[in-house]
Amino acid sequence: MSDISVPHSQPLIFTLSRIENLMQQVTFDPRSGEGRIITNTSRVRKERLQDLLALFSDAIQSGLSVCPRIKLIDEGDTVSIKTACSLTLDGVLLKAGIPVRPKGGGIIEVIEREPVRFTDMLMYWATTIDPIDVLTAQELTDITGMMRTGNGRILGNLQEAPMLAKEQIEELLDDLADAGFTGILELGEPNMDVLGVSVERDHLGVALVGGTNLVAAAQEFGILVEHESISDLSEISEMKHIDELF
Amino acid sequence: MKLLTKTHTSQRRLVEILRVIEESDKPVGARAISDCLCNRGYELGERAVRYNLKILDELGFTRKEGYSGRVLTTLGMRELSDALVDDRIGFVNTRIEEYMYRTGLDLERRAGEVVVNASIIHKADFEKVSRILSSVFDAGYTVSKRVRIFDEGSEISSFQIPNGCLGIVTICSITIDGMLMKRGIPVNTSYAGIVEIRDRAPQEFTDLIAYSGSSLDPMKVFMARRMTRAFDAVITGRGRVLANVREIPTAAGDRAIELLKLAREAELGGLIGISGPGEPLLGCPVSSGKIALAFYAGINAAVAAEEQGIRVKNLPISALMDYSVMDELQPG
Repeated sequence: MSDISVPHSQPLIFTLSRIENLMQQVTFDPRSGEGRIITNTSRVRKERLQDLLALFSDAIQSGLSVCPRIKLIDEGDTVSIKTACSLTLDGVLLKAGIPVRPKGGGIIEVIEREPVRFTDMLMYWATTIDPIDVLTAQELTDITGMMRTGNGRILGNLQEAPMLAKEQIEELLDDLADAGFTGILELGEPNMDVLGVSVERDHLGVALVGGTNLVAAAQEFGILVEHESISDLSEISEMKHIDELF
Repeated sequence: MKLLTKTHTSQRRLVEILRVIEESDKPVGARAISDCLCNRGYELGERAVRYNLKILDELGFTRKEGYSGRVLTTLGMRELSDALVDDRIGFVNTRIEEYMYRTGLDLERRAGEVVVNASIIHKADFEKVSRILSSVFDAGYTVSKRVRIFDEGSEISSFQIPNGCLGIVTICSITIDGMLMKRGIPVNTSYAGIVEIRDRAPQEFTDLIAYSGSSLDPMKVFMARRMTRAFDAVITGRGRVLANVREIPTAAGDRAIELLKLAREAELGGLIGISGPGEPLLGCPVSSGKIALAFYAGINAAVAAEEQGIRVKNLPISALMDYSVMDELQPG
């Protein structure tokens, strides 16, 4: 049976490591409004671009994005679109000296515009595919419903930080909101569940809206989009407010 | 109006009642529910159950049927799959463990309970499906060639096969885990993943999901994302198939290899490889002090049919069946 023992191989890289790698490269300073942020990449055929931007704009107005700034890259027949990823906020907290830990991504049920609970969750340490991308393909989202009626299922994620840092986190999240980075669904109290998911002792959880909601909305509307979440970093100064682009 | 307005403890109690009702194949009354809850460690008297059932009725999750029996509504079914996400992260592992415990495979007699996946297809597609299934079996990308076919109207577990359809049952790799565990080897089913096949040989995992870190069944996740190319793997020798990984203590390695040899003789195979102690297996991490065994998923055959545009409803890890009543697929 010696033929069944396989040669030693390099282990795969799980999502958590990929995220931490990008987090430590974030240089965005919410006060100056400059620096690099983590972005998702979507690719769409040129003839559908206007439809897609219109939809993005609607979704952004419904509060379904991290930041309204996007970047378009012309690629001939297709256009690449960079949108902000919510893990940028983790990067900013980290750079301010807060040991923030991204936990996982999931589906969040929204009732009357209020996020009420996670209904499914995939931990970042446990998967090589971004949980949000995984969940987008399971037909579990109802982003259209959320946009139209305020009831639906959207994508979101959860991170944890020591409860000691609570005040500093609140300040930074305020600064981020002033700089156009919103999407905080819930800032938990120390040791308390966040949208039904428990946090480690003496930690607090922060639930954020996933930047990929824009793409999941497009899929629900039948616009074909190629997509990769948490793909790379982009200079915020090269990104424009969606209102200027369409 | 959902359960969420309740405190965590009463949510748990209500969800447990919903689970008891779901698992029963006929309407159940407060008395029976109370007994079932007691077996699960929830001390709740008949009167208290009745009170909770009233709450569930009002929420629209259950309704009365017959004389004081209760069944789940569609809303109740949905609630069950949505509530208490924290409890459901890693729950697939618990399911797997239960199935492992319930197996009873006797390798010498080639009989006893094995874990099976069910695939439901339209009767009209049967010939095409069985050709594809046979080709995947012959290429070795499953655990076993044995199947059993169920006609419309019959039941697999509690799932009734609709009119005009057939159920094809294939052997799930959890059977191997159960076989090792029943012979005293502690088995931990760690990851499900996609293995790349080149020149008809397994190369590396391209993606992995840990069973213990997800509220969804990782196998179902890969299937829904349509990440496989099992049919290509059969035809051209290049593709991507489903597989899973389990860890056992390093010291149990020799014994496991011996048992797997016996299993092979009993027509249970599908082994992709065994890792060295604590060494990654085709890119899959392995805990120190453990060795890992990767097997092809039994569901690959049905997945290949689905890739060919045939409508297949796959129910992985869905029932137990006696190994001796399963046979090789007879070419139509």
